[in-house]
Formats: sequence, structure tokens, C-alpha cells
Amino acid sequence: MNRLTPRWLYCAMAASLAAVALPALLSQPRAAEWLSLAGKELAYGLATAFCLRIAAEYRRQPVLRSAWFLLASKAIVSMLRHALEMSSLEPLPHIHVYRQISITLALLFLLGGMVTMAHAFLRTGLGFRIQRVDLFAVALVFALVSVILTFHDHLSEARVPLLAPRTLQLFSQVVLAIAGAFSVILHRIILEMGGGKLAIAMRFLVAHIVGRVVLVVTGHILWPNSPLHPHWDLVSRLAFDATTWIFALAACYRASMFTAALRQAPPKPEEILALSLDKQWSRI
Amino acid sequence: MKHRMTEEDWFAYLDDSTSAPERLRIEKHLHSCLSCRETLELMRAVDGALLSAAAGLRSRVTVSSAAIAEAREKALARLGDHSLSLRLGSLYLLLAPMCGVETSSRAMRAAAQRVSAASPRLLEERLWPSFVEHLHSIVATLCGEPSARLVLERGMRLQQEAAA
Repeated sequence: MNRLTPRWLYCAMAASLAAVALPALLSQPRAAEWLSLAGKELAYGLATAFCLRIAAEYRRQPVLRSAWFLLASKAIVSMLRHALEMSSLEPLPHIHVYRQISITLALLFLLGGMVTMAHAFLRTGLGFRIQRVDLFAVALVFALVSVILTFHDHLSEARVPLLAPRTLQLFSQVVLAIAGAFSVILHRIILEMGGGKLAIAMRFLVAHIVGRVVLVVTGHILWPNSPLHPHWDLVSRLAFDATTWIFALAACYRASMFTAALRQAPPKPEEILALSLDKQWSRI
Repeated sequence: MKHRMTEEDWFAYLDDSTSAPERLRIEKHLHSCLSCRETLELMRAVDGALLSAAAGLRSRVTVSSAAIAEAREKALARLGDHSLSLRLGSLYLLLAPMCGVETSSRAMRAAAQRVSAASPRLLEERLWPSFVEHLHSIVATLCGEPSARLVLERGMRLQQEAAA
């Protein structure tokens, strides 16, 4: 796993997206669907391995260990969720229920991970503060999702006769909105960090959630009966696939942090002297 | 006091070679004048840049090692307590690529406050091990145990080196 650097994941993401786009453009939807599934399963499989490795790093910090276990669970459930979304499974009875259960569970695990992580970081007492602009961003997320809930007839499961998938789909939108709100808080912490590998990892995590929220909202606007639908289908599939790789990249960046620190040579006195140029250092 | 500062005045102030009353007058003026404070910051930055440039030139220019040692001593003297500044700088340079520059400086300040020091630069020698311990626990929460162990190991090694 140590050899799997973010660079490898970027290459895998590019290859996977190209492999999905090509058959889709050549009117081979079946092949595109299978390749898309393979890409997502690979991305979440790698993310699971990285998350479990990170969780093992927090032996004495149960809060953050739980956070990464929750994110690993999210990746595992997402693997199942994408397998259940295959069109070949459509004739199966109650497939919509299973799909919505897996989607809701994955989102709940993601939300749990985000909440736990934000709580642990805020508890360190390093003075991370939420600002008024963040509250506006949170309000915006909720406003967007409330629009979806109001016009829930456009949702994919709206015409399913069973009540359970319809209710679960509405519930999952609420969970996604809350996860979006917590991503705003995490984003504030990232901004206050002033760079670093940890910030990069968290930025990818935030990008994963924001990407999902944007896809849900735009998917809602360009709903299946829209004239833009044929183009939207490929774009949304590629964007959705990319968000799975973004999640894997978040875990990969975080997992590679220790390896990078280990490789770092002790600084030379000249480097320490050059710190007089560093604004943060002068504030210590 | 008007802005009648020449470059020589600034350098004299930075080199600490001005007389005490003159220094007091300059500091009073700096307290109320943003423009002069910015100039001073700029001069400090130039000073630092020259130091690092000199370090880069070292490999290409033949300078006696005694002269280099003397220049380094002078630059270190400006940082205050040599040993402490070097140790703090070394830990900061380890932390910053992992947690970010702001988090690193906040973590170091928080660790110093936990050992009842107003700032890391004012740490007493006997408080160094507990400071490193506290920094280790903060970093463990942020970046995980293995990264925090690197901080602990470096912190302790630096103290041993300073003692030696």
C-alpha cells in the first residue's frame, strides 16, 4: 500500500474515466456501465484499505479512530450500493428498497465520520473558529436541499409504488444536506490550517461531499425528462465516478502523510534561519 | 517623529547598534506608524533573504569556514537563545508540511501554554520534555500516532544534542 501514491490514483482515475467515456460515446451503454462499476469498486476498495490503515494510526485516539472506521464503512457500503445500481438487477423484487437502504447507510456513515472528525479537531483547543460566512454557506446548502424536498416528484424513486424507497430517498437528501453543512465547517478548519498534507486530504473529502451535493442538485434541475438529458447522462456519470476517486484520493493523501514525514530529512541550520521570512513562525 | 529614517538607520536598528534613547524613540514611532512598521518588516525580510542566499552561495563561493561560522553565529544571535530557537525551528519544519504552518504555530503555542510558558520562545530548559510531550499529544490527534512519534523523537534528540 505504501507504493500507492496520490499520483498513481490520479492515473487510475484518468484511465477509469476514459474507459467509461469511450464506450458511452461509441453507443455501448452496457460496456460503459460495467466499466463504470469496475472503476467505482476499485476506487472504494482502495479507499477502504487506506481508511483502515489510517484508523490503525489512531491507537490512543478513539474519536478519530472511529471517524476513519466510519469512513471505511462508508466506502464498503458504497461498493455494495453501486453494485445494486446495475440496470441488470432492475427486475429483482424490492431492489429499490435495497438501493435506498445502501445509499442512506453510506451517507450516514459519511456524516458520522465528518461530524466525529470536525468535533475532534475543534476539541484540540487550537482556536479553530466558525465564522459568519460559514453559517451563510450552511444555510445555502439547506436551502438548495429544501428545494429538492419541495419538488420531490423529480427524484428517481418518486414513481416507485412502495413507500419505503421514496421515504428513504427523501431522508438521504436530508442526510446529504447535513453532511454538506459539516463539510463547510471542515472547510473553515482547512482554511485556518495554512496548507499541509492534512489540509489537502480534508479538502478532497470536502470536495467529495460538495461534488455529491452539486450532482444531486443539478440532477434535480436537469431531471430525466429534460431535453438536456442525453448529454447530462454521460457528464453526470463521469462526474459521479470522479467523486468516488476523489474520496479515495482524500484517504490516500492522508495515508501518505506519515510516509512523507518519515522521508523528510532533518532541517539544516540555514533552513531554520530562513524561518525569519515565515510570518507564522514570527508569531510563535 | 517624522519619517526621517535612512537605510543606515534601519540597519543600525536591526543590528541593535543604536543608542538606547534613539532606539526608544524609534520604537515609540513604530508603535504609531504603520508605514514605518511595514518598512521594518520589509528590511527584516530582506535581511532573512540575504542570509538564505548566502547559504546557497556557500557551495559555489570559497569562503573561509571561520567566516561562515562567524556569520552564522551572528545570525543565530539575532534569533535569541540559539539552542531553543534551533530546536523550535526544527520541530516547526517537521510539522508544517504535515499540519500546515498556521496549525503548527498554534500547536506549538498551545503546547507551551500547557506547560505554563507564555510562548514557546520563552520556554525554560527544564520544561522542554513536557512541552514536547504536549506537542506530541496535539499532533497525535491531528496527524496520527506515527507522525506524532516523529515529533517526540526529534524533540528528545534535539535536547540531547543541545545538552551535548
